[in-house]
Amino acid sequence: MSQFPMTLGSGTFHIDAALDDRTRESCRSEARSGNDAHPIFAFVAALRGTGTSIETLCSLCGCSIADGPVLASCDIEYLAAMPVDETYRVDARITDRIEKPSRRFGKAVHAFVEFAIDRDSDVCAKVRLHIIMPRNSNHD
Amino acid sequence: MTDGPNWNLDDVSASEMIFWADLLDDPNPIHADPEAARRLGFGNRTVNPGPVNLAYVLNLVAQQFDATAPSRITARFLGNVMAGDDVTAVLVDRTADGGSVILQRNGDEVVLQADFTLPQDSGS
Repeated sequence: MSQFPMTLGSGTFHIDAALDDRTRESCRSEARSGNDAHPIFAFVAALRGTGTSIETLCSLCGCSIADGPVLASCDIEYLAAMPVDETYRVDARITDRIEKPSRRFGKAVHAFVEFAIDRDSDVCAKVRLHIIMPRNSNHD
Repeated sequence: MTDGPNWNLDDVSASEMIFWADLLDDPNPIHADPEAARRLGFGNRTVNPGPVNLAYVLNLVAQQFDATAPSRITARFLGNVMAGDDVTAVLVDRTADGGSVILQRNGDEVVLQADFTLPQDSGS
């Protein structure tokens, strides 16, 4: 029986104002007006806040970060404001893992991962990712 | 290049890719090591992390809609942005509650396509 869906460890991520400033500078965004972090922080909080790194995520799917996984798609729902200088709780699960032939990689694993980002009792964002992980024969 | 309201960055920075890889806790070598990128079939320049390309698209949405963040965005990552590339996010369609954006690399290749909706109270 498949081990998926698989619930991942929960964790937290703190968005401080200085990090938001630096991130905006890096992606050439306008400076923050008001308290809300750049909306890309829903994605950042998802990956950083869960207790499972992208490297471990690849391992859980039978792949290696060293083989160069790529992001295929993402879907982000913004449900409440995400101000800076707040801490967010992140819950995550791998909803599915499908192995397919790949023209580019030979074989690849398609991993589908969902994250919920909460502050206090409010769900601030839901993030769904589809990641393609090359499946090197060394991991068979 | 596709016509429409746009947002442009004419030289994607290799050093900023390292900042983002660190921010995302993403040790994928294609973001930091040109030799690893070459070995893994991505060419001989480092690859921008996908979320950065999405951040460019979100910059365009904010620019066009009075700094409003979308209520939802769905993006497909169709290609890669490399160090030194010129990227342009273009608003290609407007709907009653949102629109569609593409991100073009070096004036032609579409590397990201996104559909977004705006909050109902955004006055779009």
